Amino acid sequence: MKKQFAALTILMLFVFSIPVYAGVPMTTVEATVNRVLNVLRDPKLKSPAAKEIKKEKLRVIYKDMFDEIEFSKRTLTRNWNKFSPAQRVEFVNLFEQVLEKSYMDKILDYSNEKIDFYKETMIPEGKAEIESKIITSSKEIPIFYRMILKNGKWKVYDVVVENVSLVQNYRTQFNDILANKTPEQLLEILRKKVKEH
Amino acid sequence: MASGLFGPPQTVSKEAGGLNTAIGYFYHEDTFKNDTDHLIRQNQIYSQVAYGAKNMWEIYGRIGVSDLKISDCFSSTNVLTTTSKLDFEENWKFFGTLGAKGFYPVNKIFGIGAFIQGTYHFSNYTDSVAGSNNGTPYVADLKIKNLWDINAGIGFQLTAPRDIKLYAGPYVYYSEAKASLDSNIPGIEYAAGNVSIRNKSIVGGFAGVDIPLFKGFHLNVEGQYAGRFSAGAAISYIY
Amino acid sequence: MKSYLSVALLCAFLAVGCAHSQRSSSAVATQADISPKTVLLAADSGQQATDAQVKPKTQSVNDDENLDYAEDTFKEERVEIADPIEPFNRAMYHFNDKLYFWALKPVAQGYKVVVPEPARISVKNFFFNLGFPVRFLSCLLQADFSGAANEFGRFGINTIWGVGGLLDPSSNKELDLQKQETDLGQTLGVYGVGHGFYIVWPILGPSSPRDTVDIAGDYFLYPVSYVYPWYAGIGVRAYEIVNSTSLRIGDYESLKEAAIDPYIAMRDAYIQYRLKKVKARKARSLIFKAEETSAPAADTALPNK
Repeated sequence: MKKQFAALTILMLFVFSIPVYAGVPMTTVEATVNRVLNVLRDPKLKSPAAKEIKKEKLRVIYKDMFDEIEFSKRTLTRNWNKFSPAQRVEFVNLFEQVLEKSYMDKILDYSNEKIDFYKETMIPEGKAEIESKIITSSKEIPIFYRMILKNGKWKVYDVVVENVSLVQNYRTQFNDILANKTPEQLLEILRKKVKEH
Repeated sequence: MASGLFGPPQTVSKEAGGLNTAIGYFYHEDTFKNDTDHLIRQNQIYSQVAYGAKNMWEIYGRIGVSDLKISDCFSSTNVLTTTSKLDFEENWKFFGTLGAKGFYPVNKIFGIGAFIQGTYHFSNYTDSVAGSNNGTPYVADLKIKNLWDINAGIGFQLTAPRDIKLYAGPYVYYSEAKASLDSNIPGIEYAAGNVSIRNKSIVGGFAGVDIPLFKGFHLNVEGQYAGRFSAGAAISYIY
Repeated sequence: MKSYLSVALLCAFLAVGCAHSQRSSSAVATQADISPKTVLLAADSGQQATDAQVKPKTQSVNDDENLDYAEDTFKEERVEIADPIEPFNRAMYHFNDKLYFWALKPVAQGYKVVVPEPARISVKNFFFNLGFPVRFLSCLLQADFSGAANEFGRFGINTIWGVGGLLDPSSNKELDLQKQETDLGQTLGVYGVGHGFYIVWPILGPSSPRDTVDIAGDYFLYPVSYVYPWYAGIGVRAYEIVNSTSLRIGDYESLKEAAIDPYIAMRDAYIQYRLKKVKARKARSLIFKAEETSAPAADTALPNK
């Protein structure tokens, strides 16, 4: 009985302290990427007609993996404060669509490249950086995921591809645009970008 | 005249199939005959690319450079003819080798293989000799052209611990070249026009060892005997 | 130097890829509790969210915050670069863009159809192996002696056992001699020389006065520059570029596609990429290893535009 209780206590401790232990961010990303790969490799979804189903499934995974508000805020930095709440919501949505348009086809093109997760760096104040690389026949592409712990869940808020941080890259662009344009004008640019092609 | 190492009868490439590359050095001695016998010597350096699979077969190609020395080539049999030197000597010229080998493992330790290997020297070897004939000075160029050889043999192989391969076997070979001197000098063996020279013995024996070094490198050392003794070593890398 | 253009956002796909679209399906609706829209509606209608689970999210869209991430844990320094000749640079950017889409890409695509990938990778290896002198010298100048030894070993092994550099045995698991993709521009960066300002060269692409030193140095140290006659050398270079382009068709397109302002996106990618490279080189240098932890890298000290 005593033993059982001790075991239960240890189990409880383990359950409640999961987010604090090293390893969780890495397993989170790895599991999510594997979910993506499972969708991409699913033989039932091989036909071109299933493309939309695949996309829909990937969107769900994306929502689960990314902290899109954190992502948007970090790209806009102080400019975020210049946006009204309605504009912010629109911005988050438009930005997501821009990214989807740019990257969805690339993901669907995936052809069994090996993905290797090899390092996790925990940072105080609930952040972590996961290092991974995609190994293709001609090169290795380093991809780092920056994660933040929010409400007990690790979410990605930045992706660093070949040393280039996406957040940083968009931040520079938005800063440049907002230096002499209003938030509304930026939204208009994004709306156009989404409507294109 | 044989060119380069024959290597272990069994390929060193990975079982699934893969490349191995090598750099090798071979010191070669042989006796060539025309009217009289001549000792021939070569130092060869070559680079090899091979593809083998299933621990059973391999094909390989080599590109290398070689020098050539033929002893007493310019010695005169005519008392009226004097020559500035006796030996033919020429420096680095290109050659290429192609080969194939197959191997049958009798058990884990012992196996038998066979190989065939041919070499062709793309460039001509040239040396000139000066002297006087009956008081008249002369200069003549001797060209050794189209030097080629073909070797075929059977190898017996023992695999020792640490994957060291010991091997030995007999081989037969044939080699030939055309020699031509650009003018007739009385008393000098090679006259104008093409004269074929060939190897004297046609049967030989070889023995060698292949030792795995570190990180995918192997060392191969081999000796060959066919009237004269030749030997060489190569370091190969297994992909 | 050859890889600035290849800063491949291509693979961000596995990460950022599948952005949620507004075309909410039933699957997405189950996630609605974290969608900003729902959060906003709740806030707009005056419902004060009492649930502690919801509150942080409400704040995340509605409240002004101190969003200066400069002091962030990932040292998101302002890696900006001065761009005083922006009109010229933008013109050059468009020139290079057209050059890529009208000439380089069609040629590379045709070449890609004819030549199988393993052959193209071998050609790339061959040219990379030829670039040994500048990498070796750069490693030495950076006081990265293990890097220099690595490069020396790579060059020897790949030349001798890699069939003149066509194959890359050094990168195999057993040998594991890492490529030192460094250059003279990075060497100057290691010693604290800043970029100066941004320049886009025709054909060569993004650069700066500092990295232009590398273009010049690379010219003298790259054996292809000594190919005679001169037009044969240019032919070899052009072939090298076509070959490497054929291996990364689509990278530049994705970068451009994903960008709101491709010119700025490219500039930023270039500057981030170079900064990280310089930092990584500094960390390897015997001279700068210790100070790296305290002092910021040269590039960060640049004034904002």
